[in-house]
Amino acid sequence: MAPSNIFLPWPLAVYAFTKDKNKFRVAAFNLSCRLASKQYDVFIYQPIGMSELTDEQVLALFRDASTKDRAFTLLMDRYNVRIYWHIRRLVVTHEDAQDLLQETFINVYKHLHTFEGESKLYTWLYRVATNECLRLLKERKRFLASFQEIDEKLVHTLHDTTGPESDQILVQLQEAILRLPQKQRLVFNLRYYDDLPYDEISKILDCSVSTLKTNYHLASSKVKAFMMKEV
Amino acid sequence: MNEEFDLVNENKAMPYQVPAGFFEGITQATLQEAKRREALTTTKSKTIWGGYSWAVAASLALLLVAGYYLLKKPQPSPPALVRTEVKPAPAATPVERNEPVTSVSVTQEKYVAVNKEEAKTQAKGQKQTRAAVPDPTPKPEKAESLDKFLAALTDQELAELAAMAASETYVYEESLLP
Repeated sequence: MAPSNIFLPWPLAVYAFTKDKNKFRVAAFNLSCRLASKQYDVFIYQPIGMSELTDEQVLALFRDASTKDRAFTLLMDRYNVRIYWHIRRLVVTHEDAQDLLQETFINVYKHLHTFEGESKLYTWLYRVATNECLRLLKERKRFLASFQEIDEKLVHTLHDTTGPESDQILVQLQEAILRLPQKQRLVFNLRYYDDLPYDEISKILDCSVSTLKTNYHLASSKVKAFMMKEV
Repeated sequence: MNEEFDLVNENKAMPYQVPAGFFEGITQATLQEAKRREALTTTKSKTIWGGYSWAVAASLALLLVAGYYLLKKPQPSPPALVRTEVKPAPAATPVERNEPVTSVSVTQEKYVAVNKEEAKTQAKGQKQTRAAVPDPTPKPEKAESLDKFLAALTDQELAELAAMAASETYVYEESLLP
């Protein structure tokens, strides 16, 4: 049974007059989502298409306990592919990437309410994912002698994972990237594959823009040199 | 060797494979896992807090009992039926037979007075010997004064002092000191 049309708008109208427009929009949207989730037939405010929601709106939904799961699903559906590939480039195997992707988003579920919006949401997601990857690599360093040994192992895994049917230039390019020092590899991946601007990368890696630019330049030169030698 | 490798125009595809339908199922699986862990953390924290509350209650009870027994006023002791104080034995004083009784008492008094003085000097001597024995525990005043001294030094003075301490001449001079 649909609720009364007269009953619905007045609290929103009062809110609109007392508060600013943005808060009004969010409140209206929250209400529309609640109504939609309760499967009412008629409501005055048409629900906005979920894919059209901004990150801020998703965040507002997440902070409401009743729409938290829905917001999380939206968020993960939006970013899981990008974050997965970011992780996969660093850890190579699908199993590790899957575990780390899950850990990343579980952390997001746990701590997103503390996100204060000082950076973009996807920057924060990249940061969480990168930290998870680095944690895994650090853990592996306990069993292996050095990061170089880990990198060698990653290169071996790359060749094992990719069959002969894979594009060999792409495989060589990945090998060149895996042979970079860790910081340069991170910068190169974020800049080259994810097309992130330097100021966002600096927030992810806690580095100055000038350092990042230097690292990216060095990484590009090394990758080019490797490719020209190997291919 | 490929001289024409161009990073900018290179295909940005990845050579890796992903299982079919992976991205469709991962979101719900992750959400379920996140909720499971959240529920687990909540019950764990509840259990921990429950345990804590018992521990706090038990320690409070223990403190109260201990406080009661420690601060309890001592009961007045019952009157002693037999006097238990031991009087010191009277000191033997030389008494001369020729002298009258009165003079004997005077000499006795003098003798006792001398004994008392001797006892006092002995006690003083003991105190002095005690004072002369060095106290094995380090005195905090000295450490404080050293701290104050070091704090009062400028960086340059401190550096000079450190250099002097490190130099061989300083060690040599120190070794000559009595």
